[in-house]
Amino acid sequence: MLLAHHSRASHDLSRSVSGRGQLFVACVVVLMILASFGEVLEPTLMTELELDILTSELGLESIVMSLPGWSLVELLLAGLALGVGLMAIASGLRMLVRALFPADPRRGDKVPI
Amino acid sequence: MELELASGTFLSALFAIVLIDLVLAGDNALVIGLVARDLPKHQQKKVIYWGTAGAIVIRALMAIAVVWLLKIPGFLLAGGIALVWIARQLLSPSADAGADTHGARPAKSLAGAIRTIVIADAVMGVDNVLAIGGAAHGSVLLIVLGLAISVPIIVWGSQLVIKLVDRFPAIVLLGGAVLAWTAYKMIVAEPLLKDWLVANSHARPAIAILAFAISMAPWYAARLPASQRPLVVLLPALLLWWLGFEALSDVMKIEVTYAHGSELADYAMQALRWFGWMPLALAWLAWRTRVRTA
Repeated sequence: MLLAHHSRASHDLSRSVSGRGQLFVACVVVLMILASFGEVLEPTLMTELELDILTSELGLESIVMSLPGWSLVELLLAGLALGVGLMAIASGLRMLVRALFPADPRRGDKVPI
Repeated sequence: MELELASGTFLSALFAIVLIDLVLAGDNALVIGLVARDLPKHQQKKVIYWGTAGAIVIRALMAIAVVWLLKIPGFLLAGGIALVWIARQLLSPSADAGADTHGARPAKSLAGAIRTIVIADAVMGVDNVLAIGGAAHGSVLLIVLGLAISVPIIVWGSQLVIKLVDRFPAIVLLGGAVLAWTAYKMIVAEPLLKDWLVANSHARPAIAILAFAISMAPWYAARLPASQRPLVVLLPALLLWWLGFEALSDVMKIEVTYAHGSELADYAMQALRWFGWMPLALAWLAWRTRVRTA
């Protein structure tokens, strides 16, 4: 039996892994899959698909093309940065949505105007 | 192949090995405790000492054997497929729940106890050694470092691993992802597939997606509602279906490109390729309807 399976957390991984942990691993997996795409991506193919202008504008082409050369540690760090970035965007959007909609008048901290 | 010390590739491989050692560490302490239970007190210490030493020696021998075996054509592919299965086992705790001690029973003699411990470690260590062999890129130094890291875990590290996984459960998930990535790297490095992968380069991302989809299925299947669970099988099956036709076209010299078809057999092959998977999709739809109405 694996030692990792002795821990209480491993009995129900889908619930015990935090949202941040799941986002991090998901970002790493997406980058790994993108790296495998980068191994076969050729600039001529992008031109054929008429995606070259779009991807070069977004800077995606250079990132995806360089991903296969990245080592595991680089992929993990990039996954971490991507996860933190996505979390920052999500919390920014949440704050924006909260600011756009009026607060519930029955809330305790609601200041009467 | 020898990697340059302190290079990015070396450090990455070392990190992968540490992670693999942590998540695939077997419960040797449980086996040793169980086997030595019925022996006299003065023999128990000897069993622990010689059992651990024997486990380390068998690990080293297995590591050497794996490095040698992975050079034989076909073994990288087999090892990669085995690693996908190992990652699945890691992420599905129910399959491994309970005190699975690989048939270890309380021993009646010192020699019997040591023999049982060594055999149990050999069985438990196969996955670990195979994964390390795959992650080490054939570097002997990395294999040695992998062993040097796994030995303290065998001897003293059981509580550390359990506490680490309890504190950061994402380690197990990340370990599964790294195992899938190692499996993908092993499969695409297979000499038997080299020419085929050059001719069908688009199969590489399909293999990567397949490796991740199958390895991590036990984790994400638990998060899906019952009506969506067959997708865990259906989506990798679709990819396999497509890859199978790509392989068939090369191996059996069958024309599977629509534009190049000229005979009835070519068009029949096209029909099978594009519509043959539909019974699977229909089966899923039937399952979904049944689950929703139940």
